[in-house]
This record gives sequence, structure tokens and C-alpha cells, in this order.
Amino acid sequence: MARYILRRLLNSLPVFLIVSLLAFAGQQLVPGDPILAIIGQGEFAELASGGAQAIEARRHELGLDRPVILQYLSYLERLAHGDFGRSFVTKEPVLQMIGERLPITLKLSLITFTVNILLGIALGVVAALRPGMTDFAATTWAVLGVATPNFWVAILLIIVFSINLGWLPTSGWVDPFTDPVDGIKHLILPVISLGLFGSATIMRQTRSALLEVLRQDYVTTARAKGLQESRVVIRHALKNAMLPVMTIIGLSLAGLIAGSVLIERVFAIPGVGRMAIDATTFRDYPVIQAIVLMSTGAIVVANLVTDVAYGYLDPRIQYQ
Amino acid sequence: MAAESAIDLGLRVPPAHPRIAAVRAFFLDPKAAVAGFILGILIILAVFAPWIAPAGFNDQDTAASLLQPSAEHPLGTDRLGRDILSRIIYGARISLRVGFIAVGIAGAIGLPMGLIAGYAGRWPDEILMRLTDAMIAFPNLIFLLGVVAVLGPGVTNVMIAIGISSFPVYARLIRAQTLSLKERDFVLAARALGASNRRILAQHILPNAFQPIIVQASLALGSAVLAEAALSFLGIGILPPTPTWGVIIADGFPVIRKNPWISIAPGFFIVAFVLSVNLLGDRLRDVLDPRLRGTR
Repeated sequence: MARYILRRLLNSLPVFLIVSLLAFAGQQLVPGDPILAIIGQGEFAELASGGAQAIEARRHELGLDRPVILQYLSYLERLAHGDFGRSFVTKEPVLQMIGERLPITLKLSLITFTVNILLGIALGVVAALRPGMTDFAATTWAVLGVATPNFWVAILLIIVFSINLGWLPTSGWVDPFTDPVDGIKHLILPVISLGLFGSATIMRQTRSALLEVLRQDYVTTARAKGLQESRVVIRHALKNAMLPVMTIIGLSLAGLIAGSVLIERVFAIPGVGRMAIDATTFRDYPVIQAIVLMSTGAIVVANLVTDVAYGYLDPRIQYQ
Repeated sequence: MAAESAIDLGLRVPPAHPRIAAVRAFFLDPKAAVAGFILGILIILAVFAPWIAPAGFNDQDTAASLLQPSAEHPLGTDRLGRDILSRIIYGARISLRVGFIAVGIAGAIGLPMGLIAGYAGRWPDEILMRLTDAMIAFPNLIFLLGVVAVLGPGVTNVMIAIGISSFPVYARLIRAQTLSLKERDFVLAARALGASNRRILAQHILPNAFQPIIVQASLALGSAVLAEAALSFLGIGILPPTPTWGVIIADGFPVIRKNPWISIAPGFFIVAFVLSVNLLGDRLRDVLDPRLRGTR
């Protein structure tokens, strides 16, 4: 297993290399002098006041007068050491800035992820065991979900539950682990808008996979042995129906990362997503670059976890 | 019924032109018919916006700031007293244009890449596959943020950003088609007759590989409009006062307590557009490839 995980991580190296190459190419493509993408407009203006020599000296110091391939290699070396540079705006190291905001985004995403999975699977089981209206509702929900912008759903929820009913706060972030009551109040609307439709997809997949498994002979055998229906469904059918559901759950993580950017903006949550928007607005290239590379890492790890989970759910799958 | 009675009477009913029959068959599905109707209305609104909209998209009247919906302003007005309905109608123009052109850009990059990779094989194929693997695995919005950070905001840059972010799907689709088509007898025959690679690709492979591309393009239209709305809502895509549906939602967000319709109404247009192109895309897939009927 350890060898499999190591090999998978090594296999994902080309993906990292390509993404880093794209990020590096982006740095070179920023309109104007490439040094602008590394030191930012502010420092550039300061240097420019000292004359062209000062800019050239800084260019030499950063190695920007070397061939592009060497620049890329030293860029990779810096990345390998966790050096993502400094923000143009705050002048802080990018890694430190992300470190401060990442816990918030992680908490929001993980809570949404968990709610999505629990709700999606529970409703999927109900829909499989009681077809009819639940089935129709699930399909409509999922079809609508793909077509509806989640930031717009978030605004609708704010209008109904915060402004008209006054039940929940309109924005802000309170850590649910330090102040559970207020924290959960602040979490309800973001989690619903971020996960409303992700759970619908999991629900549809669970339903169709479970319906397929419930027709299998071993389920009939389990019932013939006189097992309770709940035991038949949970122990015998559901575990075997989870394989395709796991794929959907793994894929939903990319959507969650992208979705949190929008939801953090609507609810003024000070996470990485909000930082990404600010960085794009100010063309704060080092910050954007770091977020792009870290998201790639998150997706690679999520795919790996999904693959490893396959083996747990279906022991016939061998890791080689 | 008319056809039945005509047969009863021994009369021959002339068959409809195959194209008309195909269009009729396409819209036999009620969902496709409703989706086609909604899409038709939205396209008419976009094309004839200057004649349909009650006011100009940037006609300001500060005396009429943040009015509630009324007969004069069916969806109310924004902070600058601009008529929201008019802005949404003009918004259809820009949002749809961004959608169509972004899909065109994605196709223009993806099709030649996929054709070459599938036909040539070996290292061009390897490079393309690794590149598309990396791009498909990536959260789309984060990628868009990266591209917009490089290019800057604006209508043209947003179209390019969305086009670049969605070309890998086309490249992979056309590559898969090319791989299977290049071994088919008619391609081998063309090659035996001495046709050049360029001619084989343009005349024999591309026309036969086009069906899934059309389906993908119709589905991608909805995603492109959603992506534009998201970027513009975040304030990093198309910037005000240009009206797109995402810009109007963002405009209304700080004043949702005073006139919530500014943010609510454009969302319905986005949902209507994306839903109708998705349903039409699904129907197109069913019609073009009956083996996939009922699958999602």
C-alpha cells in the first residue's frame, strides 16, 4: 500500500511540473516588464525613481537576466523549499498569509464536505428504498443545481433568512470550535449554499448505485437468511454501492475549492478564497501563483484518497 | 391523425424534407421544446435589445435611485437610477456573446490540438494528454483567476480566459474520435489514393468527428455563461458599467435590503439560459447518439 501511494505521488509529479510551468509562463506573460510580476508595481516605482541602474541591479539580483530555462529551474527550487515569494500588497511572505487563512477555508470546506456526504448518502438511500416523489425531487434538484450559480443561491438565502426572517447573520466568521453556537449560526447559510447541489449529485449517484446492488443475488440471499432489512441495506448493499459514489465525492472536492472562493466573497469570510479574489484584483501575482499550486496539490491528494478508499470498500481491488 | 386518415383513403402523404423532419423529431421531446422556446426568447432579447429595452443600459436618473418595482420600472432601479429590466436585457447581449465566443475560442484551440495529437500519436499525443490531465483536474475558477490575473479584466480577456480554461475537453474528445476514425476503411482508402495528411484530417476525419463536439459545445455554453457571471460578480471579470448578468447581481448585492430585485432578477435569466442550453444539449446527444439515451 505504502509503495502504491508513493508511486501515485511520483506519477502526479508531471501534473505539478505542468502547472508550475503554466504559472511560470504566466509570470513571463504579465504585460510590461517581467520583473513587475515578481516585485510588484510598488517596488518597481521605488526602484524606477533611483534610475534604470537600480532596476537592472534588482533584475540581476533576482536572476532575471539569466536564460529562461535557468530562471524556471531556480523558480522550481524555490517552490521546493516552500518559498512562494512575498505579496506585492502586504509585503508578507505568501506562505505565511496562506497559513493564516487556510484553517478558515479548510473548516468551511470540510464541514460542507461532511454535510454533503452524510445528507447525500442518507437521502440517496431513502430515494432508493422509496421511489416516486423523492426520486423526482432529487432529479429536479440535481438538474437545477448544475444551472444555478451558488453565489446567487447564497444571496437568496441571505434575503430570506437573514434580512426578512432575521434568523441568521448576513456575513462574518466565528470559529465553530471556539464558540459553537455563534459559529454554527454563521456557518448554516454558507454551508447550505456551498453544498446544496453537491449533495444532490451524491444523492442521485447513491440512489442509482443502491438500486443496482439491491437486485443482486447476494442481497436476496441475505434477505432469505432472515436478516433485518436495515442490516441488509447497510451491511450488505450500501458498502458495495459506495464505489461509484466515492468517485463523485472525490470529484466534488474541486467544485468545493472553486465554490468557496465565491461563498467567502458573499459572506465576507476571511479565508483563502477571499484572498485569491483580492490578489487577482491587485494583480498580486505571487499570491495567485501559490493558491493555484496549492489547489493542484489538494486535488492530487483528493484523487489519491479516493483511489485508496476504493480498496477499502472493495477488497477485490489490488494496489500494484 | 391526418396521416392515418390519408392512408385510410389510399392517398399518399408526401414525406417532409429530411431536415424539417429532424427538427420536428428534435422538438418532439417536451423538455427540448420548452428549452428551445426559452432560448429563442433570450436570443431575441439579446439581438434586439436596443429596440426591446424600455431604456438605455446606462441611462442614469439619480432622482429615481433604488426604486421598488413599478409599472414604469418593472424590476425597479439601481443606485444610479438605472432601469434594471433594461440592464438585464442589454446584459443578455454581453453574457451570451461572451458565452458563444468563449466556446468558439475553446474549440479553435482544442480541435486542432486534438486532431494532431490523435492523428500523429507519439510525443505530440503524450504532451497533449499530460497538459489536459493537469488542466482538467484543476478547479476551473482558480484557473480563471490565474488567467485573469495575467491578462487583466475586460470583455475580451474574460472570453479568452474562459476559452483557454475549457479547451482541454474539446482536445480530448476530438483526439478520441480521431484515434478511432484514423483506422477506418475510408481513411485508409483515402491514404491509399495518395491524399495528404492535411486533406485526410480536414475532409475525412473532422466532419465525421464533429457530432460529439456539437453536443459538448452546447453544454459548454451554459458553463461559459456561469463562469462569466462568477468572475464579474467577484469584480474581476467584466467591469461596470458594462451590464452583464453577473455585474448586475454584484451591483445589487450591497443594497439588497433596499431593492433585492437588482440581485434576484438577473439570476433567473442565468438559470433560464443555462438550463435551456443544458436540456437542448442533452436532447442533441440523445438524437445524435441513441445509444446514450436516458444516460447522464
